[in-house]
Amino acid sequence: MTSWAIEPPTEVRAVDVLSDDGSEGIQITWNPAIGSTAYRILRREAFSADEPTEIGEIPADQAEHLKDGRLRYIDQTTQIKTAYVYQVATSTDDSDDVTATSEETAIVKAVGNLFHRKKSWILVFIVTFTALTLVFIQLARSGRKMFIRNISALDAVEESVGRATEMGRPIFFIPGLQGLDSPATIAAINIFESVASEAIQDQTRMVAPSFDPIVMNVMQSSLKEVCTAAGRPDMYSEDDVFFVNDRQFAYVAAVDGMIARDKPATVFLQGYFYAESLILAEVAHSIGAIQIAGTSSDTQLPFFIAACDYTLIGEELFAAGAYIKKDALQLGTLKAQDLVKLLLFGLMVLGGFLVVLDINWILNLFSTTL
Amino acid sequence: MKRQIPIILCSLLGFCLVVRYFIPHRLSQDFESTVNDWVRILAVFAFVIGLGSLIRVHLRRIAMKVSHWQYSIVVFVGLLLMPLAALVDFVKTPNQLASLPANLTSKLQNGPLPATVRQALTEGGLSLPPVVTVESVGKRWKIQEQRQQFATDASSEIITQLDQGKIDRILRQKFSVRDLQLPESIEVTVQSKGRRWLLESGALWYLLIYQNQILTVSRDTTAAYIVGPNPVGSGDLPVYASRKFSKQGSSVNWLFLNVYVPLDATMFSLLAFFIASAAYRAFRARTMDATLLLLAGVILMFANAPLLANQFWHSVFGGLNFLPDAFPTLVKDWILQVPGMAARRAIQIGLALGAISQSLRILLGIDRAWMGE
Repeated sequence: MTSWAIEPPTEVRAVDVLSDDGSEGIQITWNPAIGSTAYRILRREAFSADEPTEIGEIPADQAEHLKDGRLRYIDQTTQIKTAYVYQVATSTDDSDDVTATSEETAIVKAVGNLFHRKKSWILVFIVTFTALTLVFIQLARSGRKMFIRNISALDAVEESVGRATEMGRPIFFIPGLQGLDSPATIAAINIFESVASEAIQDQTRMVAPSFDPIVMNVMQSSLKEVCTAAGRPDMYSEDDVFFVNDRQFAYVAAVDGMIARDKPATVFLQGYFYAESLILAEVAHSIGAIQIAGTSSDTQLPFFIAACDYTLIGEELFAAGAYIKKDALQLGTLKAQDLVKLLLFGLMVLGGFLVVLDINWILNLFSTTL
Repeated sequence: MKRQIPIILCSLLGFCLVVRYFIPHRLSQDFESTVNDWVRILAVFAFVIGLGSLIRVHLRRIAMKVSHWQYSIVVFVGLLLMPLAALVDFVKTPNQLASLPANLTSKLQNGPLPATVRQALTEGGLSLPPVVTVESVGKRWKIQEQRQQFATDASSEIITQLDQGKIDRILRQKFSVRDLQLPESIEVTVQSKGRRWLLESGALWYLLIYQNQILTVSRDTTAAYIVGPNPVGSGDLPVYASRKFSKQGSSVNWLFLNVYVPLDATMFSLLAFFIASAAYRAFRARTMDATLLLLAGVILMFANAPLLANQFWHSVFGGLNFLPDAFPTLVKDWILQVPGMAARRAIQIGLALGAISQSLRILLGIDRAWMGE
């Protein structure tokens, strides 16, 4: 049996894995050694006299190759802030078990980082968006008129409230199945305020069965304020905004029952919905109510579009509060949003052309994996 | 001042959480975890208020005998029945926390759960599924059920499906997906429980990760057991938490399985009929848009129905060699992945921008709807 001398891996480097809390461990990289069939990773604590111990072995053909041709191993068994040094040993299939061990790396520790580098572009995006929003708010404050296109679903609010008043029936407002931590729910409450304001002026009762107790509380407060502002505090009743249930289909069963019995003239379905969206919308349709829907759930939008008279599509839900209230500051934020959308659209078109020309950096920009 | 303090608190905390998103350090995670704990604590108090509202509304309906007041009695029957049943069950067989005998680790090795360990676990009051395997992962032991998939070589498809289930980036990043146990059912939702991550599929639990260690959780309806990790040199297998659920055959379980579940399923099954009635209205080809919708809908239904997509297609168009066998499926996939996906992504981008804009309005104190103002 013949054995050949084998070179140890060269340029072995160990660095802390970036953009983590320290638990991702330490990355060891090295140049591949010719003739090696496997690599063994050895580690010892830096300030101890212990012999290095093997923490992993990888066959050469399964080792992870970096773009520069070096090999990589990530040690995820490290303790945070403990200093280590590493070595990489090669081995062959030879029966003599020939091995060669590299030099020790510099001392390295796994530590938590203060900035997630892969999120740099997200930070740039948020800072840009915020800056544009502040600019447009300032413009709105200075009295510049902000144009906003017509949203038919919101233009229909007045008509639907008027219909309820004429028929002497209540208006039902269903604020979705998420809590106050959801932007869609807050957008729904904005719409609720505006609808309630119209309804109270017309002396029409608003009923809001709630899925979440916190949302119920906020809506009660909102309705109370609207009634007081309209000079009709007597129109406020705590029992009109109430908690029903926090289980999806139990809530649907209860609300459907109320719709079928009370026969509201108008039903607003605003907020975030799941599978119950169509059940609610169809029951409301069956009693002949006008339905005005809006959701940030893209999977439920088709159901609302199919079943409801009017639907707020996509970001229209979030624009509704500003649209109805005609609040200049809020309209300013919408203009910033439109501008960012335009910028994104421009980037997409540019990206499309560049990808055709086999230039992919813009594609990689949008496909960052966190 | 009464209004300014909540707005200042909201803005301050909101901006802190935005900044926290960019800081991976453990202190930053701890901060978020603390905030989440507070949110949960507040939610409990809010639930009490909700319950108060429910009781007040229905008591008044009964007292005033408004129309259909009898339904309010049903509400109270349901409201009282389950706690009463739970109380009776508890008095009969109180829940127990498991106590495990020490020195179990020496009996553990990769493979099926040894009988001695099984006996020790079951004596501790735990209910184990019939087939449980043990695997050593680094310094810890993982006890898992065989029926669950161990996603060592998770394909990109599985990762995508988890993404759809709102799996958090930290979960994927920390455990590189290879450590995830995936349930057979792929409808997975992930909830953040501070530093804990719970993968849930329906009412069943699959996996719990605690302090960056993977623990296993049964999806047994009678008990949850959470075992491991095994500290180096420790002689025993720590059980972090175990809790007997109500025994099968108990009154709570009976009510849940025989009353609540069928009622829930009945409501959900109504959806099938409502889809048909809504589709009938939406598909009336009165305009060009409605006609296109009808056309796309018909093609999708055709391609999704095996009888039409396979037998009918082959018997009628089988002789046309220039068309591929899976032509209906190809057309369906094109509709879903090209025009359908383009429209969906446009809506998603708009929604994301709208949500960011809404959040900015709240953080800047422009939108105060969350205060009921």
